[in-house]
Amino acid sequence: MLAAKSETRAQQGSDNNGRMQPESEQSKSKRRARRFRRAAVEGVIAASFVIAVIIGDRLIGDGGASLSVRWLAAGLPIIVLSFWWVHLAREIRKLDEFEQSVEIRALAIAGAVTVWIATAWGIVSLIVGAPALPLAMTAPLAAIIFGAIRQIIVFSYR
Amino acid sequence: MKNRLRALRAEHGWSQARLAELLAVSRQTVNALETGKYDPSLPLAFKIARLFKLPIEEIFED
Repeated sequence: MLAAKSETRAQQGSDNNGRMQPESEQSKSKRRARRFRRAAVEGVIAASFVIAVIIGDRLIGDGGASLSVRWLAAGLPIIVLSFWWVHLAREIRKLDEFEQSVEIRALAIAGAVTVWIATAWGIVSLIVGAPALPLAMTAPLAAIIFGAIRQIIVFSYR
Repeated sequence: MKNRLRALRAEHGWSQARLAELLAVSRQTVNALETGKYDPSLPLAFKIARLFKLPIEEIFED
């Protein structure tokens, strides 16, 4: 009943007081599926990166590992990180111009916020003696900030 | 930038989803354009003008 009502309103082209029109159930479920797929893929890549860093750390162990093992330990997370960035760029390229502008703005703000956090943490670490920021975790930190900022920007357009 | 997109869409009896489909953009994009929160690129503005068979300046004004 509600779904039928919302489809009728969507077809009528009513202005809905400047807000987005109600979406048909079919398009809503498609959009949700697309969003879920993207979140799932990005989550898996992020988790793979963290796991690769942990595996790398375990591989070098107590410091007695050979140079080739060290390169392997460093290379694995770098490969995952590169794949992550390429995937993100490809996802952004698939979007239309407005969606791209939202993503790029979110990336720019997230980059600035991440640099601020890393620098502030570095200052606190240097002067107060707090534990240093694990730099390998900068990418996941930036990804979390990016996700949050993107949601805020998307919400501001509703 | 102000525009007449909402009025033109209503004249044609299209929903936001239908207009989005015709312009090959998302529904969110159409909504952002209609509310004036987003100004389209020149190619998209031309596409809108061609769709409504109107000059750009009759759809968008500063």
